[in-house]
Amino acid sequence: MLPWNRGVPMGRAVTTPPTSLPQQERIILPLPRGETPLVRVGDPVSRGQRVADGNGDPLPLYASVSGTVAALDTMELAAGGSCLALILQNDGLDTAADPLELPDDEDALWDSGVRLPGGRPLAQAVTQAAPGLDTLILSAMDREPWHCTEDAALCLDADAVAAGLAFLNRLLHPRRTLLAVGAGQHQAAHAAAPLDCTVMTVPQRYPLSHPQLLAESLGRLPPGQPPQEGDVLVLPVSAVAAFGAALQGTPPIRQRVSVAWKRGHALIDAPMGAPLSAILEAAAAPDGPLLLGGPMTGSPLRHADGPLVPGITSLCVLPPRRHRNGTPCIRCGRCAAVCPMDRQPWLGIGHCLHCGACRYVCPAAGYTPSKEEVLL
Amino acid sequence: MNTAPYIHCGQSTTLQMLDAAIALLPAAAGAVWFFGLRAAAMLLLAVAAAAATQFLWDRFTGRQELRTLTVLVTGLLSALLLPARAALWAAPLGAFLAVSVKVLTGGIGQNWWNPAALGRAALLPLLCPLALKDCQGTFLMAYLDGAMGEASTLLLLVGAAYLAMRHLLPWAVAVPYLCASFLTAAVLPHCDPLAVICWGGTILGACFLSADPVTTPMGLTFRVLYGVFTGAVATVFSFYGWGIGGVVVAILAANTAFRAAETIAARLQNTAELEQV
Repeated sequence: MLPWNRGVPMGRAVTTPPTSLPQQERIILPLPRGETPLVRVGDPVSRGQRVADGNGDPLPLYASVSGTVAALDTMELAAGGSCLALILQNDGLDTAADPLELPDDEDALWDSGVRLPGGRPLAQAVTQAAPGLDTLILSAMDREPWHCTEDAALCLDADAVAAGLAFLNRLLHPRRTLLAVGAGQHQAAHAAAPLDCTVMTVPQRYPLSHPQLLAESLGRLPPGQPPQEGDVLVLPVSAVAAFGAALQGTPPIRQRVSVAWKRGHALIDAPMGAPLSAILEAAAAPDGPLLLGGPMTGSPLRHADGPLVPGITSLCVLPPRRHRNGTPCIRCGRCAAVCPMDRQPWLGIGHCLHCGACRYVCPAAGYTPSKEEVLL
Repeated sequence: MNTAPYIHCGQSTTLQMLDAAIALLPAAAGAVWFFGLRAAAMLLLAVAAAAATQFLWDRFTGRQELRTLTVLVTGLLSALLLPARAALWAAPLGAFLAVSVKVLTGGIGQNWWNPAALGRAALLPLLCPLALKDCQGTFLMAYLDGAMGEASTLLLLVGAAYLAMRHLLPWAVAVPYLCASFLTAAVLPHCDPLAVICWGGTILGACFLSADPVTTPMGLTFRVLYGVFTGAVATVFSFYGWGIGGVVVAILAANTAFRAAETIAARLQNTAELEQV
């Protein structure tokens, strides 16, 4: 029975504890936005020490292991171009620096160095929502199918989420604070009970986990209006948990990365700067084309040699190529039925979210790419 | 260069057409059972003619529509809509006309009229079925005076159940069709609504001819209206006039009316949205 009528399959949850990555010898911390390094080659660093500073968006970077600064070299970026990068040699001693101390105001968001999945600074998202915010929505639903980072963040880091949430409530004074949980995420809903917010259950149907749709359905945002122009702020729970951990003294030096493929997934707890290939190996992921993000809206990754940076929370391994010929549109209407914006996708207009649900269900389109095509 | 999304549900046009063809197999088997080798010959000739026509048109237009296997459905339906006493050349001729008009009115996805219905309608002057009011007996089990597909309503229902299981049966059309058919039959004089519901032609019209995604409108409102319109008109025409021909003509009329309505509604909505922007 083909599942197309049920839409994109969602709802993977955390079933086993995350696997920790074994100690990495070399840690690469790129400085792609012109951050100023605070250490020189040969300096010793401790775990959690601030090693690069910035003003505004170049957020501060923190060392994820203790050791010495091996080099300050240029490296190639996956998207093209090059940048400076700090390369740390791990000495295995795991010496910790002093706990992070953040100020009590908005600057704490910038100093914490926390980024949302995708790379945008958490501070930028929060400061764009003016005080007098109507609704603050924390999303414990992963935006994409196959992944479960948000679910893991809520289940495993509930106290950090509470700390981050308390700070945000104090800073923003929202009229309502909501936590969006998927219908099948029982463990997460249970973990959310002691938090100072109202838990709202959302059907596990892609793309209802999209921030725009959460803002519209839970925050009563007018359809089509971007959330930053309205009174609703949607934040993923993983970013709030990372910020809460920073408030409690630990900067974002470890990241839980969800590695997912068609038949399985794994959660890997890795230090910042670890090579992505090591993460994939620890996940026991099969071979195949790689994606950064989820299978619906992710972007292809040419190779897995790059380091883990704040903003990378999920990786996908795609199934091998199955080329199927497309046909012209047969006007079956499934795209309109599945479109969250009630648009008519075949006419090509409307407030398109670029969620890809229409292409997923379309019988006239669709084939999965080969590794060669992804690299083009 | 590929773009997201990188996963797909696995459904394709070809698989959908295969399912539709499989749904017609019980009725086809029933036709062979009741009418013998002649029925089998008509079925095979119709499918072959549809395939050959599509192949030649594909060469001419440069498209590749044969691989979508719509010819299977068109061929089977073209034969099943004919009576067993028809001449052997009638089934391939109907299939040829069906596929040709489909290609000429835009090809797969764009044609305005149900191809099998059109092929049958074109042959109506030659092979006019009996009006239902002149037929007797229950239509459920073995109705041998009409088209081959009508012979056993039960087998048609098996096929419709298969379509429903594969989520290819448009309930928004079928249910209003059946209700409108029943109510129209109840209102018409000398007409037995139960008999009309049990007639194979009603099931063909509601579940098979209306399951064609191209010619049936999209959207709940239009589908319900389409079902009501077609059910009512088909009942009137088939009861008083042309048996299965009535169903076919009703389908074609509905195709025209609702495609026009959809196009106009889409244009109006486009204009409204562009003005908003």
